[in-house]
Amino acid sequence: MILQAAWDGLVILFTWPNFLLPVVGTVLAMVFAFLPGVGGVTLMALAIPLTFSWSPLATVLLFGALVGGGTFMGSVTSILFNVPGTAPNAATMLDGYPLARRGEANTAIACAATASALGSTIGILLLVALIPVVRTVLIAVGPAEVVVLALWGLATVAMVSRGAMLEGLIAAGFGLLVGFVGLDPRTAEVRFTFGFDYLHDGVPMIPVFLGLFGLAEMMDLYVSRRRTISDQAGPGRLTGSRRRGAAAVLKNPRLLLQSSLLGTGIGVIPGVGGTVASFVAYGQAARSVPDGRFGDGDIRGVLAPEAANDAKDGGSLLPVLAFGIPGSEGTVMLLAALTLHGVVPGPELLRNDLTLVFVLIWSLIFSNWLTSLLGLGVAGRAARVTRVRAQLLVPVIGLLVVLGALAYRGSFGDLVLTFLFGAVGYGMKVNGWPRVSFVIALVLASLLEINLLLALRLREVGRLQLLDRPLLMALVLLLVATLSLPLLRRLRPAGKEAAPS
Amino acid sequence: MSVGRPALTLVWTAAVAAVLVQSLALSPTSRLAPLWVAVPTLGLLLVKLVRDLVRGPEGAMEPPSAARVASVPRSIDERRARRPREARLAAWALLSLALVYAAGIVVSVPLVLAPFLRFEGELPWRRSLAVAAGISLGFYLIFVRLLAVTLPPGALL
Repeated sequence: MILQAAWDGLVILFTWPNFLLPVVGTVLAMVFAFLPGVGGVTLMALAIPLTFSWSPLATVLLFGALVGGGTFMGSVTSILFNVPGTAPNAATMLDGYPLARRGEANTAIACAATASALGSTIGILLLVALIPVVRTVLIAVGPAEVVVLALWGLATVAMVSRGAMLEGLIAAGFGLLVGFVGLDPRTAEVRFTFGFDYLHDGVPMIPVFLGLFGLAEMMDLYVSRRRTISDQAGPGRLTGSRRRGAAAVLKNPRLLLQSSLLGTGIGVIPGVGGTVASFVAYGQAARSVPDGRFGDGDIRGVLAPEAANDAKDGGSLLPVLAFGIPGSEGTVMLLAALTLHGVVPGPELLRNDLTLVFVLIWSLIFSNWLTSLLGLGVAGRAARVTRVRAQLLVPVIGLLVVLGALAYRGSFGDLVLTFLFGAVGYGMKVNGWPRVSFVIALVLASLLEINLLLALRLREVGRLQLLDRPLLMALVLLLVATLSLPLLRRLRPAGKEAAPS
Repeated sequence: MSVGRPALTLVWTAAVAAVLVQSLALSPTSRLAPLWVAVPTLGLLLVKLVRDLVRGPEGAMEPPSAARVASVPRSIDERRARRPREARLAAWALLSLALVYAAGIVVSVPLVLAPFLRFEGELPWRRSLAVAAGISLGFYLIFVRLLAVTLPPGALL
């Protein structure tokens, strides 16, 4: 059945005119991911309201490409300008930029492109292999398990907000409270609208995403007075050998596999995301390669984080598709897009519409490979895009955000909300508060509350015995461990602290 | 906007406190989840508030994460330097909102773009008008005509 669904999904992807959507999505994702500070998340937030009238299939084709299409391009600016296109590409800077300064820019970019494509393929294959296992486990997942899983996802997101753990937890709490605004799903009581009829149906997510990410980034770009995105002159002609760069990946199969496995595993954990995956893979590579010159232009220092960053896409799809629990900003957008088009992630989707799942998966693989191939060809010329003046980029992206907010429901209130959350997002950004905690909590609020009330009701009528549910006990232990680890680390004697490299 | 750490924390604390107070007026079922979230969130906010006040405005900066390398202002001088630009940005935002409300987005786009490019982009008037016209036309042709995106009209036009 899985093989049949995979085959059907592949046929659908390559059927005309379906094929156009992943191509367009990939190109758009490449452009946006290439612009540091703008990113694929902004594009996805813009795409949601503009694709409102599309079919679920078209949406899945596009968004699969948007998720997969941007991850490699951000590494090009990391390599050329020492400016990460997206946060997960920061690890690539460590060895990519020294390579570029040594005249090996093409080598580094080719290595990144190849590692991205192969890493994403390995991640997706692991996801496909896990789907039958997850379908079995899903039977044991009830309301109590969903609550603990969602709380664990939120806790993990907050905990990995390095240096801003307290702010991460607060942002998560605030996101949940914003998610509770509107009608109570059980009693239909109106909550926290403060007299505004606009909020009767709750806070709409699309304006929040547009403001928190799209508008906030443009506000920061404007206020920071950068003349161009990269604030640097262009790279000129790129030198180095693409063949040598691609060959470096194939000559290090163990490192490729190790980084991809790490990336996929980390991607499965809600909230952890590409940044952690790429840095963990980089750190592991540095430790496991005895003759490495990491930090000084070692090509393996580009291979490892890029493979991990793309492999995590496969892993991160698992909690989204199986439980409807997003783990990153990108999967939040994907989940929002799917839900708005009537595609509800969870056991029903994996049981009854596996073909659609595979359309998403194939679109993701296709866009990863297309990005790597196209990106390899246009990297040098595309680098000039980063010299677009900020004063031109700010109003254009701002215009797209306004358009997205108005196109969603045709409501001026949505536009006001977008600007309001733009201000909130800007404030969070400049004060170091993690926005990802907030949005994940916002998306999970309804799921959390409904399942919490169900679990409590089941407990009241004696249908929920905690000790009879091993999966629940395991998840509770995991949650406690996640919350306790930072405290335990602080209590450890200072001499035993390992200095982070 | 960039109002400094204690001020931002105070705003959030006030918001959560308002939610907490409103929760008490709800039925037990409706207020259960909000209370479970609001009470610990408020506790954490008070911890943060005390920490921000004790550290002072220059305070110990947390080690920056990879995700926010460039954007966090490093000093109070840097924060102060951003305030005039933030005020200008707020003015542009309010102007845009007012125009979109009154005239709709299609008419507002060139009306906002041209002066923005002139005063913020420091382009000559002629080039500002030309670029604004080009972008407005492109926007209209792609989104309104080609993609047939439905946009609300202005209140006055």
